[in-house]
Amino acid sequence: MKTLAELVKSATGTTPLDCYQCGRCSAGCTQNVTEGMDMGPVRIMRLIQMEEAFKDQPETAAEYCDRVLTSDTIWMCASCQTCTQRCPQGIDIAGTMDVMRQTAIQRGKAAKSRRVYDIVSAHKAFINCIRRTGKNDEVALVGEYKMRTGNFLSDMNMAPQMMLKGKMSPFGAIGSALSLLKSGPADNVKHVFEAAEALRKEEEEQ
Amino acid sequence: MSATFAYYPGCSLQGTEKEYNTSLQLVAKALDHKLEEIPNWLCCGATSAHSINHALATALAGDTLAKAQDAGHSKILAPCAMCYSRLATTLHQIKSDPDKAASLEKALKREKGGLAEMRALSMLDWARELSDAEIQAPIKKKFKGLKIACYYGCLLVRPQKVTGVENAEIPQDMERVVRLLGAEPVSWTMATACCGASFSLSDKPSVFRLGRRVIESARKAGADAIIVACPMCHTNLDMRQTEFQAADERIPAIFITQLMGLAYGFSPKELGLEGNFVNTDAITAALAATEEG
Ligand code: SF4
Ligand code: SF4
Repeated sequence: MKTLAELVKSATGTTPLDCYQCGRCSAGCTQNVTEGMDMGPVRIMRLIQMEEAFKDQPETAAEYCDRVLTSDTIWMCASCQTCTQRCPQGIDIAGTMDVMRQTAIQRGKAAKSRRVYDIVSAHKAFINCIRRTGKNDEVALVGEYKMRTGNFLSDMNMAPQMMLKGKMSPFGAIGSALSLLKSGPADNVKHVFEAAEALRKEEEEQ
Repeated sequence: MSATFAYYPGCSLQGTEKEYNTSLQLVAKALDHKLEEIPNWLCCGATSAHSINHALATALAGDTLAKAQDAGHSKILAPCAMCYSRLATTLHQIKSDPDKAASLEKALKREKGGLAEMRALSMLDWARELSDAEIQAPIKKKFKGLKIACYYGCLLVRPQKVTGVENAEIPQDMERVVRLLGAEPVSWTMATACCGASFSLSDKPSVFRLGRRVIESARKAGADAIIVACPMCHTNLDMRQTEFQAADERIPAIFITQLMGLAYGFSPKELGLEGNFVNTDAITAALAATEEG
């Protein structure tokens, strides 16, 4: 199994191993400074380095790796790119967060907290929307999100106002709800999912 | 100067933020810009695809680039900051690594190559291509005494290696437009802070916490209104604002194209201002005061 640093290197061309722990990423991270994270990006970088450093002691390495993959932080990251913009070592930190999220899902390690569950559910619902229609249908997205999370009441207060403002039509909503019954990629988007599969295989083989 | 772009409106501009599309279409026409919608375009994948399925994110962007290329274009205008960022990031990757360009083209089963030569334009790029005189030419009425906080958020400016902006910390592209329309840009601290829009559905505490910081900073700077160039920022700073700000502490957020459109003589109704949740009278009033007929 590849280390996290290796995965980041192949996806972003940069490596967390270059991090000298200046803390600039954490200091400017919107989520970190407003206490939305369990640890700042600087600690994620350190933990990735520790996994690499203990490569010859698999158990210890796995512990460091798990601390990254099971953290709330990787999901609370807003992908705002401030860290990547400011890192004096040119590390793609926001890109690192992407790799961590994807790896956490692939290895079944995503945190079990309620807020992470909601965030992961929203991502999955969004991708399913694209699979079914090729687009993000906001009503279908909210519908699937609610089914996945059981948050049935969230945003219901906004629906009447949104209809009033013409941002949502009752007929459109019915069409969107029906689209939830479809399965498998729609014809207009099949080739993109096939291309993604080809890209993924190629990356794996490298 | 007349110009033609491949137009990638994106999902939000066809859904809840359709006023951005309407106002952009009107303003583009006034500027003699032709927007040719990319045939059969698909979603960019947004935060979700790049967060959990990198290959899908790349393939979706590649599909859009390919469709624009096939329609005979080299420049794509993407008014949504998210769509723009997805295209620009993918272009950056395939431009700096020919192997990645080759794999993407192979995965999409394309023989002709050249995807890396396409260009994605954000609304900032678009504004930068317009001279002062061009921006001013269609003006019918100027604003007077209107203080504007220009909000850039994240993806229009960061990371700089992708967006190519001159200054990613204190950008001034929207300020220039605002001044040309007679309004006054304020100097404020949250112009490039994240508003938390990517959590709009999934984590309300983040939206409220980060959104409030932006609104409060604009109010402290004395702004009458905020302008944005991203549909997600708009949802967050307009509709969501009604959830996190007390009624007497709200400030309207409108699209840069709506502000331009008002000065160009289009009515608030044509520009979709009634779609706003926070009252926008402060903006339209500052315009009526200088009616020149
Ligand atoms: S800004 Fe870069 S070098 Fe500094 S701590 Fe963060 S990742 Fe490390
Ligand atoms: S991209 Fe994520 S980790 Fe980086 S500053 Fe933004 S929220 Fe923090």
